Amino acid sequence: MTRTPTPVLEVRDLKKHFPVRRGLFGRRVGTVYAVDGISFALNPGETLGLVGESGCGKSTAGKMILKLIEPTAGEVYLNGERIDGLARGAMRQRRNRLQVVFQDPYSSLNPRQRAKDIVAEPLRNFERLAGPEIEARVAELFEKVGLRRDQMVRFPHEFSGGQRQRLVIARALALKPNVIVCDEPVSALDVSVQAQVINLLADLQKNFGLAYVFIAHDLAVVEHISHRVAVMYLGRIVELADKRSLFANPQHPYTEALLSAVPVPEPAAISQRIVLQGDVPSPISPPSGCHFHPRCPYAFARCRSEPPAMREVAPGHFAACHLRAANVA
Amino acid sequence: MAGLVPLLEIEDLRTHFFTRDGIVRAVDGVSFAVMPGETLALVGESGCGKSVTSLSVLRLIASPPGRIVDGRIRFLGQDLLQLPERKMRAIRGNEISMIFQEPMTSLNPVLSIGRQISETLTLHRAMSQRDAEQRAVEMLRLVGIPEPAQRMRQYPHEFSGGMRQRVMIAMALACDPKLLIADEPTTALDVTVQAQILNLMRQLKAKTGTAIILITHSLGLVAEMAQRVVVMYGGRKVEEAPVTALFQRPRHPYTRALLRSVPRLGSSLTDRAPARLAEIPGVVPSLKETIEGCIFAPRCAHALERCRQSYPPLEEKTAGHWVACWEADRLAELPA
Repeated sequence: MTRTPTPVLEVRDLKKHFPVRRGLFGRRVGTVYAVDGISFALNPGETLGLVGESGCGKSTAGKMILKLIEPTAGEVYLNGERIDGLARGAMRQRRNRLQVVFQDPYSSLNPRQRAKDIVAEPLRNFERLAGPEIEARVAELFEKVGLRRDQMVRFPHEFSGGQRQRLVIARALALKPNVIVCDEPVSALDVSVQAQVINLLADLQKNFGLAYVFIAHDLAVVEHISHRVAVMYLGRIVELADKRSLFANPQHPYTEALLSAVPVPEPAAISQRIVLQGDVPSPISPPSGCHFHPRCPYAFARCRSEPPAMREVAPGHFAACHLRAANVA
Repeated sequence: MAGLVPLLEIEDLRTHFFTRDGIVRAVDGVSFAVMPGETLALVGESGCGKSVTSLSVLRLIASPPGRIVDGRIRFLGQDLLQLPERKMRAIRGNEISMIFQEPMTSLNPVLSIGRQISETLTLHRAMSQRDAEQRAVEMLRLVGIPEPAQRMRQYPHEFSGGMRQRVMIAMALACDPKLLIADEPTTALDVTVQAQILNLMRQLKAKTGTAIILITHSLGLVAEMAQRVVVMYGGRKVEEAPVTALFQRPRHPYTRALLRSVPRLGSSLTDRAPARLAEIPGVVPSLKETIEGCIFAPRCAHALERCRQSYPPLEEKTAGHWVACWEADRLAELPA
């Protein structure tokens, strides 16, 4: 890419390994390589989609960025400043720039708090404002996310699923962040409501210049909302590219299989499908070399022994596959 | 479809739940038929009544609070709603079987897989234990489980999600049912595993000729698996059509809006990819209130006065394409 603004968020070689303990004394018997060295940068106002199947580490990556869990290794930069080593107090000062929207809006909301208090909480915690000012800010936020002012006194259970997610988004917006990590923000919603929330996220991005890390398993949704997409498999990013480039011309065999596996709502379109054999292997003992090789239709000897490095196969299009390396070299 | 005798015929089914907060009309006058050997998709969002419809067929509605208050469900000439429980048991898992969404909760965690599959056979087919086990091994092989004889002795927690769903399918098909009800069979699975299970279901269907009722909210799954589609909204059938007709010429405003509100894979590749998704304003209706007029009218962009006053009848617009909408003819002129 020619223009290189300072990324609002950058992760370098981020890793999270969980110990597997067993027995009375908690003997360490193995390691879950949940995230095993991922790197990417997020530009201002950009949406980076993070996709992959369950267990690929996409949510763990999100939690490390948010400092909800500590990384085993690697670096996280927020607005150019390294945050992974920061202590709680120091991180608190920077929380207003980095917010989160989770999948299930119901469990992210305190059922005993009124909607306006939920949205006002970050304001009370971080900004010294008088009561009426807070009230006015909350009303403004309600309007931004398409909720009515008269709903401010309601409790979470009085809202529908889509409205609850709007409430979560309003709370995330309260401190005017420039990065929001969205972890499966629409997958708990009905199809007809999903569209409303996706459009809302897109509008807010346009109006406030937000950048999103959009974690999801639904490829069509990710394609719709993202500018760039990173595909994860067993803790590693296997492909990262501009969305158009990725969806038109997937370079990693896993991306290719993933794209072909999605049922498309067009009866005539049942194309030649690449059906992968087997399940995603356990991240406790991931396969040697390229993690994907046991399921890969093109695997050869080198794939079993040597993990492929990320290479730029086309401008801005990165893939970690020996096959592509051979073609490029 | 003239000339063919339907395998299953549901007529004016009404299943209501009598709760403390009032009567929930989960299914309110639904009729459709399933032909032998076909796959019929029942599609709709949560709360539209699709699962309650299928549970009603097997008479698995928890009572109280639920009750089938009206309707007929004819299966091979007999009305299932009139059968005594003993006879109904002989049909469940035998002539009509079911696969649920979450394979872990539908399998018994303390019984071996082999035992669970052979149980249906010893019960329904009066097979000896040995014959039943042999057949169970065959079934596991059929659904693509490697080393079936060893896997027979294992327990559900030793299987992955995709493998458990294969076990469920093996169990459901063990007695050669004439009808298989699959309720969101792949929703809990990852896409690559979903592709395996769908492939398997297609192969098995070609081999056994079992008719399938596929219950799903995914339009992609419908397009891929079904020959005919019933679209449900708010406890009612709003549209029924052959699958290509439904996707090419959806006639009900709900179906039309639903099709436009889902992002398509490959949307970034066409230049005219819409920047915004089409929204359906509002939320799914509460089924506690009695509904006057069309149930979709409050969210419908095309609703007129008449829509709010009386419920539109189902009308056959082209062969096999039924729709319940007062304005269907006017809408047909508009671009999709």
